[in-house]
Amino acid sequence: MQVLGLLGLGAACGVRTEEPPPGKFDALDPENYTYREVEELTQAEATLRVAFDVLLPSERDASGSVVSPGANDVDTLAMLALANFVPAARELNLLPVLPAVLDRTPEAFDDAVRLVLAADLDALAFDQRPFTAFRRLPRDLQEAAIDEGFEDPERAVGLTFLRAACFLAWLGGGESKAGLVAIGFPPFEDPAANIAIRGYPRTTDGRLVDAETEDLGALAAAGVLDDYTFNRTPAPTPGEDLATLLDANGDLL
Amino acid sequence: MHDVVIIGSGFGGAVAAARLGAAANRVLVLDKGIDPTGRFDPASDGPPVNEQGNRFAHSLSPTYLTEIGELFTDTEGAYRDGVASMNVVTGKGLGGGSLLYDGVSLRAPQLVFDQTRRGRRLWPSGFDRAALDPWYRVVEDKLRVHKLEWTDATVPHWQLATKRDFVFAEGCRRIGATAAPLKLADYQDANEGWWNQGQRFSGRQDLTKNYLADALASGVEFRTGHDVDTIAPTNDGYVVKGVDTRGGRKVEFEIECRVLIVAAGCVASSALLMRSRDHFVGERALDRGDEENGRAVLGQNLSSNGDYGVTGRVGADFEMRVESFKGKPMSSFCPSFWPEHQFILIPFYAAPLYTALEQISTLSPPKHPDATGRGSTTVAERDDGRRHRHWGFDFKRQLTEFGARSLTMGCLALDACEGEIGLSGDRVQVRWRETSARTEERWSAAVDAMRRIYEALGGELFLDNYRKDGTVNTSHPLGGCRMADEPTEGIVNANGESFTNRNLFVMDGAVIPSALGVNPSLTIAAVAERMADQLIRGDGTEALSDRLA
Repeated sequence: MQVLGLLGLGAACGVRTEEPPPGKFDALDPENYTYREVEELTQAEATLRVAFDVLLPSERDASGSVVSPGANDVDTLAMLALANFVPAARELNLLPVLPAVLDRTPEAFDDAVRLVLAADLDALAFDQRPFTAFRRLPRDLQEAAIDEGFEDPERAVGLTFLRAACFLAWLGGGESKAGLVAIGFPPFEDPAANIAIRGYPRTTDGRLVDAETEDLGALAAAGVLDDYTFNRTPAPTPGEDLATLLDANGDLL
Repeated sequence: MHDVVIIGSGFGGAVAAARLGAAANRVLVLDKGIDPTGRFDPASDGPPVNEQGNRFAHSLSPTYLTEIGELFTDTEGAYRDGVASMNVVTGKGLGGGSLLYDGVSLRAPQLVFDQTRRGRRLWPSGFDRAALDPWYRVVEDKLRVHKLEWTDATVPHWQLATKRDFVFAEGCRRIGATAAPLKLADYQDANEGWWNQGQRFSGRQDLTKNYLADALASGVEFRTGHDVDTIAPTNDGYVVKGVDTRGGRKVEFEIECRVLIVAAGCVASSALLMRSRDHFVGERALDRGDEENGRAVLGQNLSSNGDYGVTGRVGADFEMRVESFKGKPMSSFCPSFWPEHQFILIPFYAAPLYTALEQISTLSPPKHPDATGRGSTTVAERDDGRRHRHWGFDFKRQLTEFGARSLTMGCLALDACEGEIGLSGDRVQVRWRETSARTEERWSAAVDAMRRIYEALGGELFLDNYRKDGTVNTSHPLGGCRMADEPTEGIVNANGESFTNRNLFVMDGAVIPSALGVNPSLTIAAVAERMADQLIRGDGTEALSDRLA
């Protein structure tokens, strides 16, 4: 929690980041933002977590509360370790075409690969400040290192992996809904029953409306309807008659 | 020996399974993916089936993405600047493409069937809109296809187009075009939105709910996790060889049958026949085009169906927030450009994952703001000469602010089938050699129209993330094993049967001989309905009962 706070708050407030020592880290529980302990991290994992926060920063207010979750708040490290992360990210085009050996053995994304990625980050750090590990760099140099890494086609591959893990985890690919909520989605409603979102229409305070039994017009008139439909026919386009293009069934002639 | 083996269970294979399953005994469906419901193959792999009757909590999990989708790409050309290449996304698992599709169910317009190349009609004789209309109706009934409406005067709330569509329609109107509600196959489900992200699995009208359910009721046997490697002729039929991967094992299998239906999907069916080519020699050679004039047909003429997507933002001063992440994936389209340019425009659901596609370049401005076609896909550099950051605070804020005013849209167009399918070792590859001038012209016109829509709404077009580096991306592949009147022009005849191998059929998107310019699921299913009906009744071909006698 202390390290996360330093990272997140430091990032949000532009304060230089302190070195996060390897050891016990805390992570946000994906459902209710309470902290939970995760297993002891290796040096490589600690480096990766710092990189995650540069790629997709957590933002906190002065009290340390999460204002906007970042990659570490959605357990990106766990996403990276997931056996099917590589094929999933590849199918989303988040990753470039991989060397065949890695492509066929996604389970190879293990400690050894994490070590290589962390070593890549340290190599990038060397260009910013010789003999300084990535996670010991101040935030601005960490950003510069990543900036330059993405410019280098060879080093960009590893960074692309890390970024893919961040965004896949943040946009709901893992256990956490925090990133989705941050960009406007309602919270998942009943994960236990495997119903993520029950749909629309809703009231503005989030209650699901039964369109069959409730008066949507009245709710709309009262200004409390958050509907995804607009329920209004668009104005006609002067000079165009769709009857010459579409049949009665709605298909192109 | 099985009477009929069907390889694949998408819009072609599912139709074949339902129809032939009712007409023959011992019909077996093989699919290399999982059974997402657990009802068809109790031995299927996959996460446990939940109380919703499916295996997925929501459609964002990597498990869902990897079990249900498959990407074919060009490992040589992909992501290299200036090198044309291709990515094809297809469905995987029992139900094939229906597990991923957005339910759009439009009939192909007559112009599609009139296309010619080198003076020859692309479609076999007997295929036109009027001939397919009865089969379209059959499929529409089975998939519960209905036309959406703008208002709820006459239809239930769940049959309405979305707010996003109204915004799109207003943009169309402002550039002199018109939008209309789409025809959609959905499930009358209270969760009708969120198909692609966040919704429980059951909201989509996928094939496990209709055709495959019929097949199961007819006694058709289903085996998932069966990855077919090759097929070969035998004295009285065919043998299908592959590996059963269920339960984490890899057990080789050989299954014999009298009639073989290949319906593994456009790319996979073509690749299967290519892998099996050595088993079909002499008079039984699968590709007469290659044999007789050195111009291969198998694996050629792969269409992207003109897929071309862009992302943009509606201006902050526009009266409404789009909120594209709510509602049905697709529910309106603009047909106005079809007569002149042969493309339609469709606004679609801006799933946050779309914004993270490729190198997350969706939010980057193009290098040449007025460029069209492929030129519009080059990313502008930052003032310091570096690429735009797709990470960090600024990018995160862009993503956060993106949803409410983002409007994602794309075109489907006729193309010249510039793609091809090939094998590289044991890998299946797709390639896009070169975009024809006519296709480029259509895409340019489409990009120009979409840019004008954004600008008419006070917003701007962002990068076309699909073709940033000249990569054509499609989720609507067609062709590769096309049907034709002559064996030098195609692999199968108008009945779907191999020109050179009796009782070997292809019935899926691979046989479609041209782009359709509209979402293809309805046409693939309608063509399969027609082929299955002709086979069962012996209409223009030998009847199934005689073949099995």
